[in-house]
Amino acid sequence: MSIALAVGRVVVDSTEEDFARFVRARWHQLVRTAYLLTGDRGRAEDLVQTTLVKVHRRWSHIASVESPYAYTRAALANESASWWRRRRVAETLGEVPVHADRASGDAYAAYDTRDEIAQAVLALPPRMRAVVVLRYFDDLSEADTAAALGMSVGSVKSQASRGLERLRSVLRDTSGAPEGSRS
Amino acid sequence: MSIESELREALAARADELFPGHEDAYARVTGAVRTSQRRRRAAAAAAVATVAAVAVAVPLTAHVSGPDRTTTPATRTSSLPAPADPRWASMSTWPVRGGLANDAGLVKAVGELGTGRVVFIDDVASKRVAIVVDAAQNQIAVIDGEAGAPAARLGVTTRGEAAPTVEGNVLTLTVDGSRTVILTSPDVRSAEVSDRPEIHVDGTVSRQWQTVRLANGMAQVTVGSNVLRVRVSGSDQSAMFGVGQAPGTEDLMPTVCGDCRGEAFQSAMVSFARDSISLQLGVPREEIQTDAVYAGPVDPAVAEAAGLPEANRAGAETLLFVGHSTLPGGQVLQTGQLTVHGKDGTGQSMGLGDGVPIDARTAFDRPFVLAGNDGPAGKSGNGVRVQVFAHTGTSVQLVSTSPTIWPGSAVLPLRAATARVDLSGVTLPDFTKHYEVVVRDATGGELGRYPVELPNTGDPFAETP
Repeated sequence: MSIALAVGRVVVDSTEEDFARFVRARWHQLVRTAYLLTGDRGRAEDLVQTTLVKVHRRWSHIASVESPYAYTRAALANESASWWRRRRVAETLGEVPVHADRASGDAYAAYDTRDEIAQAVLALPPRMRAVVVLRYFDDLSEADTAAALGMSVGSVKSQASRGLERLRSVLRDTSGAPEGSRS
Repeated sequence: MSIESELREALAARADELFPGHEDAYARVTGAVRTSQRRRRAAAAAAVATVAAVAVAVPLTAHVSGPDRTTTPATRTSSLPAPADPRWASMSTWPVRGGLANDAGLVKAVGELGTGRVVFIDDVASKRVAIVVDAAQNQIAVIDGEAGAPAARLGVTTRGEAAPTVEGNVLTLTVDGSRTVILTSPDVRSAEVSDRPEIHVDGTVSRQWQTVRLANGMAQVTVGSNVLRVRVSGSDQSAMFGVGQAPGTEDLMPTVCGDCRGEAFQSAMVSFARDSISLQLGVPREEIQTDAVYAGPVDPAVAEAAGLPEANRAGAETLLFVGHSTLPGGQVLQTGQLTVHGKDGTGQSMGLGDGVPIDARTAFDRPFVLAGNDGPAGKSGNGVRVQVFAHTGTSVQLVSTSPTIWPGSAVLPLRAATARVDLSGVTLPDFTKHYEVVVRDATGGELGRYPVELPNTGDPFAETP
């Protein structure tokens, strides 16, 4: 709700104060999600800023919804997942990067595996990546992920499943484990 | 451990790399909000003038200036080598220029970020921008972030293959659609700049050019559209880059919907075409009428030949969109986009002309031709695969200017407004250069004759040759 209180010459807009509190409280949380979607801190902050500018325009409405944070996070994921920007030449999406060779028993294997998984997530198509991040980082249910991204629950299931299959493939390649050795 | 658990751990670990910043996030956001509001107001005030500007070229408000210092105090470019210095021969050896050229630490960090030589760095409009030339990879990277941002908060925004004409020595970088940096070698004293094209109803384009003086081979000009063109005597323009969006266009985000099918595909592509043209020309989206001329399936073999190898993959769906956008002055621009949707959610998309002016009087009757080499990618094949989409007539025929050299096709009946043919012994360049489509009625009479490719598909807002 937008309430402007005129006190002498000082105008206090409680809506703006709400927005300020919201931004300060949620900024870092949003940047963390954006970082997983973009892979770069600067881009993540820019993405969050762009999203919040748009949220600000509709704040009087958004402030009244059940969870402004959920709304903003959904807007963030959608902004990020606006994929297939115009290209003059064909653009192939969804390639998984070549993993680094590593000797077995490497002490940094756990770290490297996590790093390769995170890298592989960045190589997913944007909408699939958004599904994976919302499901497995923000721990949204399939229904909430679907609502956030404007997709059907079935699409979320299939996108998540395909995303996981690609990540399994990365791990198989990394560990040299036989197919099907991971659940 | 299950893959889901590993994924959760990996994502959490990656996110934990970020430590909370010390800046006031609200101050940052409100700064951006104010900028956005200011631009939206300015854009609204300029809307009427903008519409007229498409039909009648507006005198350019270009001027030579020093670096934009509206956001960050900038130092002068460090002393530069004389124009005859061999380092100016190639942009890969250009010295660094721009208002932040003397900030050695920043230049070094940005060079590492872009893996190459920084040739320009400055705060321009609302952004800190740098151009980095990587001679080893023959690539040019553009790096940007907020004006005043430290290197840690800058990122590579574009990285393009440096053209073979890199020795041509002209680089342009448009920031926020409002300021363009022109960089060339200092022996060049002036450049010609055209802010907007004049698009005529018959589909031709003309431009007015204004001379801009260069200082040390460099200038910044104020622009009013994303279709500014720069030309320098004796040199081809080798690279054009842009970062940020023009004032008032922050809501425009032309995207090709990867999940859309059927009516949703058509609707999404209409929005894509309209937003893209609005963004480029600065015409308000509401004043552009975009109609789908074709939105439907394509022969995968043709799509593959045209440049989308995924088209022939099992289960893939290939869709073509052709749209006509009518500007307030009655000019018609054609947008074509080919997309392949894979079963696994991946895909490819390729532009087939983005807002190409066509003759408004025959726009609806003009067929759209999709063609590609039938040989391996990048090589001449034994012929071309062609699919023609036409709304009028009952048949089409491909004819060449020299039938003895480049044989024509048979008369091809239109089924569901499309016809398919292979032409053997014809290369794609010959096809696009020498062939026309003849549209015929039921009696075989000629309804119209059109070149298979528009002359300005590659650069819709260049002056038509």
